[in-house]
Amino acid sequence: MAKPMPHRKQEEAKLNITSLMDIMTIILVFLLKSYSTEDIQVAPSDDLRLPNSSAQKAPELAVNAVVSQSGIIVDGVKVVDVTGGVVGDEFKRGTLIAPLFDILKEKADEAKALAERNPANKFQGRLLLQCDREIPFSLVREVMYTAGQSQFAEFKFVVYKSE
Amino acid sequence: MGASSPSSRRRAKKLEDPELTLLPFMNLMTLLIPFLLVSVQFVTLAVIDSSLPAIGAPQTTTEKKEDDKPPLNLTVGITGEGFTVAGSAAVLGGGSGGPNSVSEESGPTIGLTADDAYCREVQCGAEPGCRHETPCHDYKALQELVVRVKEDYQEEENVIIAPNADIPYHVLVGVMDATRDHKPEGSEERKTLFPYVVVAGGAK
Repeated sequence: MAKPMPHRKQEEAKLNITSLMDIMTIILVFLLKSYSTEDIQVAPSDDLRLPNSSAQKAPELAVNAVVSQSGIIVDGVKVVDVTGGVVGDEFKRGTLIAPLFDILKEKADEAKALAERNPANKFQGRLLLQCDREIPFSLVREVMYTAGQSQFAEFKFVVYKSE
Repeated sequence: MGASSPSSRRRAKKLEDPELTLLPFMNLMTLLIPFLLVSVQFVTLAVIDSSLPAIGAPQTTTEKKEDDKPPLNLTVGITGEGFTVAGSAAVLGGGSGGPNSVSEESGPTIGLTADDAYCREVQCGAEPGCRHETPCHDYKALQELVVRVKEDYQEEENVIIAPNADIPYHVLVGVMDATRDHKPEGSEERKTLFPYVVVAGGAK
């Protein structure tokens, strides 16, 4: 084998990436630590500030209903507007919020059809409720009533874990 | 040893200068970091379980039949003036028997607290520039009361919460927190109080 050429000639400009590596390693460790495998998506905004709580139970996947200051959103789709903590009377049948009832009924039927084909995946009527901390109980009650009518009877109030 | 001159040897060493090939590792990092960044979790969430009151025959208790004590049916009413704590068995507060003999008093069992520092801590925590209201609901006093109730009713695990229509949601969550569990003084473990919550429709 031929002797390598004198080094001077081949020498190329090299980045000193060792320090960058240091940074990367630290970031990597930090990110790994805060890695989440949670299925729940929360998009905090001025309209949706969840309350703090000392609850420790981890959330699980279910139909997701968001009750914010500006509207009710089910699985990412806006269902009805909320102004000043009240749903307009034209959307309501008594205590029932009609558009919300329709969409939840649809979700329940879907889940039941799935459960028929896959008995392991039973319909349990679980509903994740993300409510803004300032909305009045009257609206929460209407949402709960509507959910109850569409066969969602087990509520999971999503909150920020404060400890 | 003496064959090569010291100067030429030093030069050879300088040129070879062993170096780690960090580039593949860098590639890995640059791929991993964006991936981890998107799945990073900035807030930790939790859930509070609650179920609808059963329509028809009430099944709010899982009380043991062999127990002589009547079911407690602990009820916490929330109004703008405070908390009204009641039990249908009317044993709360040492009253004498007969169902419903503890009716709603003229005032709340636990009034609001005017402790500004407490109100801020409860409503805002460490959040800067947060607006808070004083007077506010006194969760601490409620918890103390509920702890006393729990001492007499070790088996009971249900609580009915009945807020007024105008009560903000965070007060409801605060009451659920106060009645769910507590940390006894000098203990690290949380002790369960009444973890099964039923939210009642409440009075209009």
